[in-house]
Amino acid sequence: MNKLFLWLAMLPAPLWRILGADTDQLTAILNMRLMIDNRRPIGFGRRQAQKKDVKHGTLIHTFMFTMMGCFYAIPVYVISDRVISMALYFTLLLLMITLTLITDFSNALFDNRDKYTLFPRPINDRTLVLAKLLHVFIYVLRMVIPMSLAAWASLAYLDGWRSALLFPLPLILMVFMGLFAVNGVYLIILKFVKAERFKDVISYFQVISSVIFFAIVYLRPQQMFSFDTNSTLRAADYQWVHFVPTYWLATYWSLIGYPLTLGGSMLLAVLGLAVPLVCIYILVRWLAPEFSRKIRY
Amino acid sequence: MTPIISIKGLSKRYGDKIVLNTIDLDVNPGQIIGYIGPNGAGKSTTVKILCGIIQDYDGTVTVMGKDIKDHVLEVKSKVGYIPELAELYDLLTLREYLTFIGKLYKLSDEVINDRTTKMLNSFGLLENIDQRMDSFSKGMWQKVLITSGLLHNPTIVFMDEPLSGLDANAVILVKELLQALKAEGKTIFYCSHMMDVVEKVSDRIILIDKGTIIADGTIEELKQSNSDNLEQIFSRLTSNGDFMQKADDLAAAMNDRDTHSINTEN
Repeated sequence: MNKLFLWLAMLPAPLWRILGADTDQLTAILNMRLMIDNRRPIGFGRRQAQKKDVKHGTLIHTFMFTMMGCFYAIPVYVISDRVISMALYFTLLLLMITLTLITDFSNALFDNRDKYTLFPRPINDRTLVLAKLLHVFIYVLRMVIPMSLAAWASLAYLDGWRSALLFPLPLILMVFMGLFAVNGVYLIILKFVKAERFKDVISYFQVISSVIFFAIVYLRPQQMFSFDTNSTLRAADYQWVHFVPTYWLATYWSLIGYPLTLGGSMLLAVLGLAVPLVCIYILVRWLAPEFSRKIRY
Repeated sequence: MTPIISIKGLSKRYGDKIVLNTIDLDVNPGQIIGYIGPNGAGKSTTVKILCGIIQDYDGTVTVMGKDIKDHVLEVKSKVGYIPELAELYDLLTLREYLTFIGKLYKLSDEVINDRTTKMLNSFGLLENIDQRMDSFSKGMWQKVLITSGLLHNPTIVFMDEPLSGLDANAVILVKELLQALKAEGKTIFYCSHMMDVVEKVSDRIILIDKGTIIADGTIEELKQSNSDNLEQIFSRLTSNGDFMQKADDLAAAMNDRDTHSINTEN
């Protein structure tokens, strides 16, 4: 599976070369990172105290993420209003991915060993930044693809091919939002603490995020909106959702004929496309190099 | 002779702390330079600057005639850096790690395989080549670091305490290796606290303290009397030398007795 991801990541190799990366070194670094990920002890947002020999980490992760995806897809099965159900689904998934990345991925991003192995070697900064971004992207895809399978299958079964075909676009845009949020949070934390203390701060964040996560699980999506699926919603009571980025993504379903019960217009769908793309541009152009510079010394 | 390393007015500070204070130094090719100094003197910072790892400094540093700030990749491809007991990607096997390092230097699989086999055989690590490095001892890690620092056949080798964790036989091997590298015309910049080794292997010794070079010359030039050895020279130049008293104070502290220095201060 790692070979497939590596192949996918290096598919736009000419583009990476135009961006100034050395594709041979990029391939070598990504290959090394994926090998390490595959052998890293299993843990979702938890730092592992014990070292345990893991041979097929990626496969075990994939299975666990697929199971978790069945849970996150509950709004898709139980709420018949497709726009609302997708807004809830994307909110849950985005929250889960962002929290997991913030807590779990810091170990990979702040790999102290890079100082001794990568920094003394003749690798340019663009290759290092791109390797980091592609590694993050593969890491997220490995989580998102199995986690979205249940929702995807449900959409295909309940709504038909049009809904299933639409699904990957807002999903990718949601990933961009998540990556932007994670980098944003990292940079904010780095503004206040030194790189060496970063992991400690992340540990506190881990505790807080666990509380938030369990609160969400116990509140349950339906109760957050305090309605049952048969009652009529008054759009005026839920004007605030127009400011929620995951709702923008859900409005795509209005393009294939589902009603916008909570109001809004095409403008929200345009925002849903433009904002994540702007986010990823800012991330690649400014945030990632800034982040890389800050953790270098 | 054109110096292979030329440092002019090199300064580096971390916040308010000055780590290197206007250092000037020229190193000729084919020499073994012993770079010594107390903890925190600025040795590792100098080496990291010379290897292109730290790039925000004041002054001019040229390596092989190239200003590091302008030609950092070119310089990095020609120097080897061997740090002290650094962390490695320990979930990789030894073969995977060294192949990865070789690829970063654009070496072919054939060259990587050939050099790796020969070097690991010399270090007695060949039988561990397919083992993950998380089970390795300190000494084995240090041997991996030395191998990975030399794999691309660098012109200049920077060693920062390369003997850490090595057993007596491996120390002898590395000392011989230094001479062999010198015989091949390589320049070696050797940082260490092991004075006897530095004294024996170095053509020139540079003593740094508080970010400033305080002594520079051959061991003969640094000696003030025939009985001096490098350890005594080091001690004379970098401390007030009351080690016996300090040792007594330490021992007294463990036995809850008043120490001499505290009594003196009181």
